Amino acid sequence: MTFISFSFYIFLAVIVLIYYILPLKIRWLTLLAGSLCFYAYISQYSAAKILALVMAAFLCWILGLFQSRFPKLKKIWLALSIVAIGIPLLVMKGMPFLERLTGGRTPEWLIVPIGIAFYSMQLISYSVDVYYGKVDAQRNFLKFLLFVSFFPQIIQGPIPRYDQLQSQLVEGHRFDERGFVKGFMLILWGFFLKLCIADKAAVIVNTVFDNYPTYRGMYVLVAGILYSFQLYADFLACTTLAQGMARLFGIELTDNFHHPYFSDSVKDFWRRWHISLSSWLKDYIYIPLGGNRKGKLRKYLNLIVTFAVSGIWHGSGFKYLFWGLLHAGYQIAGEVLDPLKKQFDRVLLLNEHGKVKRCFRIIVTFILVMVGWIIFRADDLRTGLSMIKSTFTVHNTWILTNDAIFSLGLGWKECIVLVLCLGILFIVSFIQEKGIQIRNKVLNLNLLLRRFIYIGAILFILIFGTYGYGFNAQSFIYGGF
Amino acid sequence: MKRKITIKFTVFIVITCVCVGLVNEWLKPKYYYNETWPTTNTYEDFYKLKRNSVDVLMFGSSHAVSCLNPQVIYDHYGITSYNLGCEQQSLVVAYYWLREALKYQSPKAVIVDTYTLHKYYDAYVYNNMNCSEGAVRKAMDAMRLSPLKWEAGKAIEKEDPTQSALSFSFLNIRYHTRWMNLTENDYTENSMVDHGGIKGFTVLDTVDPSLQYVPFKAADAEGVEAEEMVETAKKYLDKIVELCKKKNIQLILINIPCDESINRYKSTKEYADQNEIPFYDFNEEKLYHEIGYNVAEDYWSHPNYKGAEKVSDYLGKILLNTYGIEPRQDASYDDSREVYEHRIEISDYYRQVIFISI
Repeated sequence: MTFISFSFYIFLAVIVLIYYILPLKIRWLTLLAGSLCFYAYISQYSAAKILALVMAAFLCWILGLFQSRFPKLKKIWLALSIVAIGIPLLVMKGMPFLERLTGGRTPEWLIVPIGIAFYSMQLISYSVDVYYGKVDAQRNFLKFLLFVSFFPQIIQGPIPRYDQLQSQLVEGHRFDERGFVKGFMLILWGFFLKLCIADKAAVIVNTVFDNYPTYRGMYVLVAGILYSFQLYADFLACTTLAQGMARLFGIELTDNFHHPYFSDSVKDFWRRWHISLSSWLKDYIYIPLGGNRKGKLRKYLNLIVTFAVSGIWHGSGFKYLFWGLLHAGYQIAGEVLDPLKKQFDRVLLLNEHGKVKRCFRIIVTFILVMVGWIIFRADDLRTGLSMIKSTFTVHNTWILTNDAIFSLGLGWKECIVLVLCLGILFIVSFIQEKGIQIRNKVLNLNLLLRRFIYIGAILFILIFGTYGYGFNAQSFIYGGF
Repeated sequence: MKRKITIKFTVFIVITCVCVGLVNEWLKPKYYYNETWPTTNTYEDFYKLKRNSVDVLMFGSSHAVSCLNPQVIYDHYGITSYNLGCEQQSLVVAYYWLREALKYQSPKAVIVDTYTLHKYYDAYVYNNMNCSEGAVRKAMDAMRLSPLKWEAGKAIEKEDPTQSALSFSFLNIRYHTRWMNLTENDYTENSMVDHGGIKGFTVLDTVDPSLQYVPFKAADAEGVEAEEMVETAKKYLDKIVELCKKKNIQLILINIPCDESINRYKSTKEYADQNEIPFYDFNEEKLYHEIGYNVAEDYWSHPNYKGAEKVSDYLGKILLNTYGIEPRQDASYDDSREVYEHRIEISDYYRQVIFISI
């Protein structure tokens, strides 16, 4: 919600203005002050939550310093750091899970700091990187605190690496018009993704998922497909907005997605989806466990552990664990069945690198991922499995032709807009997949045409977006993790 | 370089704001003179009036809109007045519209119909506005963008948290889905507004010969319990009283013939007496008979134009004789007279058609 609220953009404008007014050397202080103010606001001015963030950052910072000052005890400092940061995260993530199992209640004294899942991973990666000598320990706590709390990415990532972000944050940037406009375009694109795709699709998705088993069979399939796009558009919107805001200060955040629905295998999907999380899991869990260096069986076990962690990170509950394990299962099955797939290709005379084969693989991957998303979105694991089952057992294909689909909250006109917007997303993704940056192309147009595009985009979002009276603006889905 | 960027940025912001404003105007619902409650004409016409050309402003719910006829007051007494009432007009809306109106006019008197001082309808008790969201929007959407409108939005949001203050300034927040329902009315605003209304008055023609009403006596109020006013309504009436005192405007409270209860009469009367404000309740026997009102002919709550003429004529008389409002010439009343007479002709024609068919 915050990133699409009017007041947030007033706040952002003020921070941008102050940033560029102050001398270059101390511009980073504006970002720190802005980040802390933003964190205070989203924490509803809870002193405990703010203190939790600062304390976690301080612990990690001081233990990082100890690592460089007392290198002989490096392992101990690292272990302490991981325990100090990891345990609160595990408690937060595990508490609702235990509640469900034991029927108990979360103690009132337990506070859940906003963005803990994201900043904890940031802190752990910093400690490990200091340990392996990939980065030098930061000596200035305030600069380190800025790295942890940088406001565009604290709630929903992307999860930055210290070596990628730190110097950009503190070095101070001169105003660069092209970069600034690129940031503006990213923000517009983020709004488009959020309001014209994610929140619009959410209307149908929520109707079906919140009213199962009233809606079964083909309804579940339609909602499953839409949820796949809703989740992607929502999360991409969030990351794009974060990138756009950071770009206004001359800071570049890494891409978190690389057109995941163009993946031709589940393994490929995880190289393209939530890249900052996937690479974190790879670098700090999968590889330390041995990766694929210790034989096939061990590799599969490592995959299972890594994806189980990913599932638990996403939420407490069996459905998340199952979802993580399902993806591990997909990848293991993909490898085990590889000879069979090759046989299949030979029988059907499919060219390994041909377009038909690739399209087929993309569609199959999408279906497999969508099945996982249905479980991810359902109320619980049992409901999720039942919903998937209903797509095979309940036959109601006619809902696609008798207008019943338009009774799920979006009329036919809005459905057309949604399809049109998904079409735009597809075309843009397709162009980007070819390595073309649309932002650069737009920037090279003449001023009048550019303004026409910007204003046209603003008006399009204002008119066709899903927001305002009658709609409960959806919070960013990944904000909940 | 810095200057060039600032200019480019400012120009872009201005063009964007203009475009958003135009789109919002296009998306906003419109209610013209050819409808029963022509809110768009009421407020747009008001902005077109010559500055300081109106001596009396009127506020109130649909009761006031259908009963207080500025055309009659002008034609009979030469007093220029304007009816800024609207359907279910909350006292909050009346207060902010009075402040908006004072930017353009310097009235000598303000007439407030008191119907919405008391609970209007059970369906709206979820908020403190004492009216529907739609009614608030009708009046507020027509207000020009200004810090006052922002303040009004904040005040409304406070009284009814289901509404968003921002949406009163950025209408797209409320109406962007209207792109699916735009009609001819949304493309013809200029010509429809140019046609003009009847200074905020609406002509109704309802008649029910079976209707009977026995007005209460003021003296009977002594033995009854006063009905409590809606807290927010009272708070904003206080603000109106204060504002009128500050601006040296004569405030007059009225209640048109609407089968009002004596309990409500009593609480309004007590309020008026406490604040030394004149209060004219046309449901009370003396006034009811004095103006020659007859519910069987004139209808009530939303009187037909004949009933409205009786009440308006009386108000014109007291404005002239009791409150010393001077007559003046204003050509804009000649235009609205044409509209008024045309509407009466249509009403009479249909009344005859119905009569013959019966």
